[in-house]
Amino acid sequence: MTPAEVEAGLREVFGDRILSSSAVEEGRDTAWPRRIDVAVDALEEVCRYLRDSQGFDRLLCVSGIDYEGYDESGKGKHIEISRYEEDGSPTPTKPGSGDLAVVYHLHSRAHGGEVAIAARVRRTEPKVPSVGQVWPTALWAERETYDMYGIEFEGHPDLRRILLPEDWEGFPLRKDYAMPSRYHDVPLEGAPLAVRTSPREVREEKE
Amino acid sequence: MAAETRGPRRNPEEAFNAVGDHIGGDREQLLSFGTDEDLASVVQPGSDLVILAQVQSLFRWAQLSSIWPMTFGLACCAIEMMSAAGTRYDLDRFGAGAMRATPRQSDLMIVSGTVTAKMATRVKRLYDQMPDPKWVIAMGSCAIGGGPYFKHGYHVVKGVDMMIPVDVYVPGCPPRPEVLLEGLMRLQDKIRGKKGRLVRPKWIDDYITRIPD
Amino acid sequence: MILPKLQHAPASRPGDRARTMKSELLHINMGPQHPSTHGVLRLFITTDGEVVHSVTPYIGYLHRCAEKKAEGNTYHQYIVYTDRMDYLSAMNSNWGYCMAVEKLMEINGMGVEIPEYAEYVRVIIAELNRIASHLIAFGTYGLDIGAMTPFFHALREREAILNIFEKVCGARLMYSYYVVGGVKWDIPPDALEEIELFVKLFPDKLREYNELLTTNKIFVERTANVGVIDEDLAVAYGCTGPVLRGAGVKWDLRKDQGYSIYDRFDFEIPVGGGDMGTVGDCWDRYWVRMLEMEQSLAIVEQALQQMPREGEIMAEMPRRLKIPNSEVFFRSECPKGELGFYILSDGGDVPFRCKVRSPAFHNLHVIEEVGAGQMISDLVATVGSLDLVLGEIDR
Ligand code: SF4
Repeated sequence: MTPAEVEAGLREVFGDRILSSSAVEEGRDTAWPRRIDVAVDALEEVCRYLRDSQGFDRLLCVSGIDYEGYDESGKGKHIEISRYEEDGSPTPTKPGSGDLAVVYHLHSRAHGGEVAIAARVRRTEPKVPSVGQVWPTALWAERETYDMYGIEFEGHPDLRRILLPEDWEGFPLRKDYAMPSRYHDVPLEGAPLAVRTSPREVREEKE
Repeated sequence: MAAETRGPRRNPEEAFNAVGDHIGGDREQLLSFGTDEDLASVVQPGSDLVILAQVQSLFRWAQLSSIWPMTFGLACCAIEMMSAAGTRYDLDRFGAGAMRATPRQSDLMIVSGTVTAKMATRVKRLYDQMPDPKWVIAMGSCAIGGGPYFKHGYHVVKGVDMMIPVDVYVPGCPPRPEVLLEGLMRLQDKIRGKKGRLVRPKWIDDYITRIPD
Repeated sequence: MILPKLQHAPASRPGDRARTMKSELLHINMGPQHPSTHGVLRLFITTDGEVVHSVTPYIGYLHRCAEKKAEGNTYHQYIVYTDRMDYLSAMNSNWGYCMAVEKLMEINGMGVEIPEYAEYVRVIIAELNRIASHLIAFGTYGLDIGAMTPFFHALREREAILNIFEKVCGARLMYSYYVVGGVKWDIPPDALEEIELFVKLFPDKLREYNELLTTNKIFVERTANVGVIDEDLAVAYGCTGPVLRGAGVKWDLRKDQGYSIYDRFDFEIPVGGGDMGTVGDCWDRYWVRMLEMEQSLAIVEQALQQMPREGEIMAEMPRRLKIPNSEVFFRSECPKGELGFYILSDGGDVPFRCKVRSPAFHNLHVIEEVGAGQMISDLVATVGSLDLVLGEIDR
């Protein structure tokens, strides 16, 4: 099964809810994986369809993307990641306005095809249906995406942060994330405690 | 010593004086013996085996020769720590081979790897659970100051010394096992009460002079 | 490898009586500083007596912001961070990333041709690293089960490999040896000799390991029929590598996707066959790793024979890589499973987004499913058999 066939099948079933496909635009319609952008509300159905009718039995990877600052013209620039000021406080950043996206990479053991399904959402309302019911492995991958981008997966049974502590503020992989310098009583930056020199001095300190 | 010269047990006071007579020094001198380099000396005045030392130095000597590190691997550096404990480098040669799996039985914490915000409180708690006297080696540039994750590392504590006091810093990413052994020996020096030694290798001076302004 | 005949593990296991008893539920925290969790993994276990009711892994104690770092480092600079993901098989991660960038360049018509000599060097070094990684898996698995000796044996051979790497690139753990377009240095002649010697001596050592652990009665009792991950479960949970192959699925990217020059070598894909118990149990995963070491050795041996005597080690590369708007998802077979890099570029000299698909992350997920209903000691055996590296799970 070629990527073109997969896409043709998708377009037949879902019509204009299939938004665009990266490979066609760039004239590389035989290259796996092909990225197919779908409407957000169709995402779960598309995934189900791909699993049941097209034989994509493995979900490889779920990645979030923050399109803030993405240069469509292809000139590209060095994106400044927010930093610290001289006094150690994080540089304030203004909130971004770019879209967020989720990309699912699928693979089929039956015919060896790979395809990427993407859904783009507004930054103000980052809600995507969960595909945890389709592939259980998505449960953790979606938690990670939520952790990093704040994209909420509707219908996820257990949407918690997975890598960062549960009360962490902000979503670090968003481009407008401000670097913290403290987490509760844990200093992330700063000067060391008094440096010990010899055991005797330490004992004196304690008394 | 020959077994036939073994006499009846003497009380310590007597033994001490006897030793004084034996080596021909006075008592005061003997007591001050072993403060710095030699923590303890073993003398055998005729019969009983006597160890002469200040109690404090004797304890230190015992401490430094059987450091029990905690099995505490955090990240990549832990693999080098394992290698150091393994067959080729054999940490046990320096008396520090008894890796304990619990903080309550150990007196050295080798912070081997990146300390993250989520882990930092645990590191602190483990440190607090260790009985005194206790020492800390910060192994690897991550534990020293954030290392490769200094910039953009939003979740990385830039140096474990902001959480707990550190005795010896072992640089490298990762430090080779030899360097860890060196760090251990410097820690032993420190426990012994020796002053720290900073020897700058000659090549650094050469190198500095050759850097153009 | 031929195994001495050994009776299958009995169908009824010592824990069976405990399983039928009921008592109050207990909550136990295992980790994040626990000797058998292979790093800073925390397992929250609810137990009913000795039987595990549910397992919830808590990860992220080693989250080092690797993906954020990618957005602030150029394509070349990021190689050093791939080292620090799976620190037991740094060469393989390096290679996976480099191949992803090369693919991305190829998509954009900037393709570089990797010199043939460099390809051989890459294969040889990566396969040696695979052996080193599996050696650690073998050694620490023995430790988990309670056998101390294999660990020291494994470390001894691993040091031999590290010696070779040290001659090749100067480092013991963090190599950054692969660069986009080739490798950084040539293999010096004495290292080549050492590799040849290693290839000659290692089969004997493997035999020794098998005598030590593989068919050891206690070991078999503790691993056979324990932690069974069957094919459906493994596929559904995205398991890869020895975990997937242990479940009897013949899937190896080196053969099935055929990247680099793996099509020139003759090697097998070992799969779990339930020799000691059920297909997909801990013993099978362990055994797949042991067999893979043998296959890797065969690849190294063939590569040494086929390799041209000398050649270029690096293709012509622009110093400053700027890749136009495009994206790539490239996977390669690492010792732990399929390591994938999803790179989105926008014409700048840094990746706009670099997502790492880490195999161990997905392999660990399955423990939620498998862990329930086991004895606590079996849970330790199961976690060990997944061969986790927390640096890669948390990134
Ligand atoms: S210093 Fe280097 S080797 Fe050690 S934990 Fe940090 S990144 Fe890993």
